[in-house]
Amino acid sequence: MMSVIVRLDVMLALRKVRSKELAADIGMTEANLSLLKSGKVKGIRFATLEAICERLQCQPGDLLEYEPEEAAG
Amino acid sequence: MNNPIARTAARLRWAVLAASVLVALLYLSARVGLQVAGTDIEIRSHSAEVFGWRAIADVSMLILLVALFRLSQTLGAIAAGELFSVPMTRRFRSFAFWLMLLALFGFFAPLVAEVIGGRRDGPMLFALDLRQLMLLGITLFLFLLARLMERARELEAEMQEFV
Repeated sequence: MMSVIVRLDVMLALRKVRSKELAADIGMTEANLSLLKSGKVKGIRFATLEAICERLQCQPGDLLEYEPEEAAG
Repeated sequence: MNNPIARTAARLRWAVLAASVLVALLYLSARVGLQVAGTDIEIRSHSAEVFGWRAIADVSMLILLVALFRLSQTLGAIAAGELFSVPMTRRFRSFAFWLMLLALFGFFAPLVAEVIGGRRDGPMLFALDLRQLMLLGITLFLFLLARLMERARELEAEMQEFV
């Protein structure tokens, strides 16, 4: 289980932006965005992170959160 | 086929195929004693003194053609965009195998022929050909290259999980 949790869905809800809209704006496929939202990716490129932060007007820390294994389990 | 590697592989594939056909035709011409453009073509082998050397040369040529065919298939896969795919690596490894077989055959076949044929005069002849040893070394390196390609495929697959 990954200790780094992706909080993209929370930011999308706060900014009232749809996944489809974000995917189109940052030039990413909806399938990949969906994988990112569900945390089913091995990593995220700085370029992708930058594009998301720019579009959602947020910081990387708003999108990613570290949860220690014990707390997560 | 828009990347430079694929284009180079496609060109190289045609060169390998053309060279294979040319070598096969020249060999056949020499074998049946035909002249090409008024020139005699002759097969020369370091094991020409050995019993059955023509058969050894025929089999060596056959193995070389199979190896070249497998190389052309490898290049074809690269040209189709399969840079580190499983079929490409399998074909490359097959090419290395046939090349190794060629080196081993070239090394041991004259020895076996000597034993089977038996020398009528003097001791048995063992001719050490450094080119065959070099070829063997190169084929072993090709096998290592195939392992590196497998590792590259794993890395490529991992990279695809990055968004």
